Amino acid sequence: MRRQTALVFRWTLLQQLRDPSGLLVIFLIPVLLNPVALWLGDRFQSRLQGKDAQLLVRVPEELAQWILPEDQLELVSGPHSEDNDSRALASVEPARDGEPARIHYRSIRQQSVLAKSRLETVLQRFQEHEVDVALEQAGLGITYQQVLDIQERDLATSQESQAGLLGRLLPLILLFVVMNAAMLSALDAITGERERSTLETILSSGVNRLSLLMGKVGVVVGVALLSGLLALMSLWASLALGLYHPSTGGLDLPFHAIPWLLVLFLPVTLFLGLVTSLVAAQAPDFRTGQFNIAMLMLVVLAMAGVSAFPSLSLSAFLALVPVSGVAMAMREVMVGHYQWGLLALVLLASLLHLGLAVYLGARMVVREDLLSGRYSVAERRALGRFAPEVGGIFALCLLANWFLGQRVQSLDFVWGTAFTQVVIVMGLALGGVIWVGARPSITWQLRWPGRGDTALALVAGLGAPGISLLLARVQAPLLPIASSYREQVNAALDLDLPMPVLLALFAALPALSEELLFRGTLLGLLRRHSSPIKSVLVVALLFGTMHMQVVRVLPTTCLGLLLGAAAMRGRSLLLPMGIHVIHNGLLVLLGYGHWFPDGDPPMVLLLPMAFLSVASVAAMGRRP
Amino acid sequence: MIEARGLVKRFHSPRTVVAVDHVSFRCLPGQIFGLLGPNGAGKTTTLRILSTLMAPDEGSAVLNGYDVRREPERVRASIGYLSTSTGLYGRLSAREMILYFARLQGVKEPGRRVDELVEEMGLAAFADTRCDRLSTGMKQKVSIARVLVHDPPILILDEPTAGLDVLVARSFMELMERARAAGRCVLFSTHIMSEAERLCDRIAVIHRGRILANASLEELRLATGQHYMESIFVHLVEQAEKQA
Repeated sequence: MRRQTALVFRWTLLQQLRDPSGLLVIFLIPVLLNPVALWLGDRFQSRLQGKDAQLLVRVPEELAQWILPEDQLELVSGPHSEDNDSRALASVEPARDGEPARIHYRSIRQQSVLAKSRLETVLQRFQEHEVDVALEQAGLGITYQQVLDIQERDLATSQESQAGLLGRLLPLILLFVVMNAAMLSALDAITGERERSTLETILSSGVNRLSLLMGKVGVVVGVALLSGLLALMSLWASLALGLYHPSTGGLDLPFHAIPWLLVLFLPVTLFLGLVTSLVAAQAPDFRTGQFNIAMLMLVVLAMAGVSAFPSLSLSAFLALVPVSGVAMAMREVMVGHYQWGLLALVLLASLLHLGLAVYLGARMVVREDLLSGRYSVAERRALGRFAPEVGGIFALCLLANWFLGQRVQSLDFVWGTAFTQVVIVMGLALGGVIWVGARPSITWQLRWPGRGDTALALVAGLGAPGISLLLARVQAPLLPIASSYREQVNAALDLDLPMPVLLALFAALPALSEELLFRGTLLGLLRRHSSPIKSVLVVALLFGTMHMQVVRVLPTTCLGLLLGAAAMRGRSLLLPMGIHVIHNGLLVLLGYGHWFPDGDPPMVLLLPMAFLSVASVAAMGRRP
Repeated sequence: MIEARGLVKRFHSPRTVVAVDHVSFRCLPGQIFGLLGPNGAGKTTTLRILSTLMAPDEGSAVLNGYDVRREPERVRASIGYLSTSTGLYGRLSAREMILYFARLQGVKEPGRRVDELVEEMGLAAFADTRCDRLSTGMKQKVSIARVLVHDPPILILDEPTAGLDVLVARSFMELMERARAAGRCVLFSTHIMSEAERLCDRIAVIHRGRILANASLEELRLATGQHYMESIFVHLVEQAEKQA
């Protein structure tokens, strides 16, 4: 068996090495990604913070003397005129008649924001002087002035700050490179066998199936490892060549971190290579393989994205989460502040994840149908056995949300929300389809709807908040909204995030991931052997239950009915996705904008909205 | 020897179709057995079951003494299977392709065996050319060399002459005759009546998954009162349709 594995490995690798376009993508990306990213980052930072970036501002005369050369501010000269004022990136309107001083700037221009920040420093300097004078005039000594004088001191060394910055990005870059290489290699070596009609040739030879898969997984893992190592070397070389030299000084890859990075990198790469290979082996055709692995990459990057959040640090809980634990550990070793126990736990958990993947892979490969593609949806449909899978996926999602989702959201609300939606909900939506051997694009009904249905979905989306808000209000005497739920919503809205990010995070992302799971996977599997009405009803109930708040069950179940009906009538998942995104977006805007005195729109508005929404979905699916 | 007993295979896409319906036959060493039928008759599915690519829903098959369900790896080591596509790795040369399979099958002195086959199949001039740059006929020759590399006692060939020009097809038929002379058991599928007439010791006519007749050409002529294979085939199919 070992001889056959080695043979498959050697000859598969030989074939991959003979594909110049594939090699170019697999190895050029890790080599070029770092220098290009660092060079662009340097250019961008130089534009914002470069020594020559003198910014034009307009300030009153009494303030002009407090501008120092290091502020890099240049005063707009010339008489006061509209034309001259528009040249200034920011301007100060002095305090007058009890009114505070005002800084005028434009938030959409980066340089204007930077000019505002520099003007704030000037104003603070001026204010401190005024306070000093006032205190002295009041006869208060220097001691009082010192008490009021607050100085900030960053205890992190320059090297630590730089390593911290690099540590936030490096795990993402490394894991992206690894996944990219594993994806291309697995598609060529595994899914490509079916596409090139060589699968029957190799399967009918005397080679043992486990040897065949292990040999191919070996190539995928090897290519991913090599690609990751190239990315590390290219990063080190880029920094050594000084491609990144911000005003704070050069960045450096800390020498002490390199052995740790390699130790952490090895098991996670093996794990990702194996999982990618298994996903590739399960795909019935090349396009499905590409799609499934691209979705898997998204899930992995959401897990790795944890390192980009400075508010989080490695904990025993995070150490156990696949990929996230390794990403955090990589960041900690880059900074040089780490606990041996936690690093050991990360390594142990990585090995455990790897062992689990090997066990599942070995169980999958003994099924004769894995490589021959016999495990088809059509067969399962005839047997009518998808109900247990639907129940299993839902139960798993509920448990994962309860034990993992809530925990990660308590660590960092923004990352936790993204993690829950992408990793848990989208991951289970994809995992469920792969597990039953179906094609996601068909199960999920990923097809463009007609213009008429698209227009109706737009109207249905605009009216959909009418349904959920109306029902929430109707049930309010019996089920008042829990204060914890209100706090959660307010916490989300109070985040200091730009509106597009708020909308993306709390409106679009949950809508898209929930639609993939509920109207995509669960409804897609159920409708194969149940009546449309029964399928939509069951999935809507699951959707309502999933929100884990008694007060939300009725409104979300009814919204689920509307979304399910849209998916079935319009025969496209994009319709409920659109309706759901608009519905969530309007709720975020309503909560943020305080447009109505009571918070919610009046009943007189909600009723027609709800009617319009239901009528639009009812009109869907009519062909001229 | 190949012995198939009551093989059944159902597909469920989009409705349940019985692709192979209680198929039984026996192919002895030194015999060419033809599975003759139109497209979609169940020939390829039967051959895939025998080469262990698919498991039968019912029935069993024994090849060279090994059961396809219980000992699939031993079955695979005993057969040379050629699918409807050439199934070659485009980035390997013809010689490398044959060598790879020689090593996978555990052939002793694989290099010498590859040289022998390259010579025998007339591949010398193209042996070092990548498979994706070979002509269709050459590709089919490489495929046959790959099938023969471990000297299997059983050959299972799925429409081996489809898409080949007359000369190459003729050389294939000669090769099958040589295999029969060497005592191999050759099972091949075709929908070309003249091939079956020329080569087969026994012919099984398969239609809609069921074997309508399994006999020698002479026996079929006697049973149907028709002389040409095409007429025999049409006669059998029409009778089956009437009975259905």
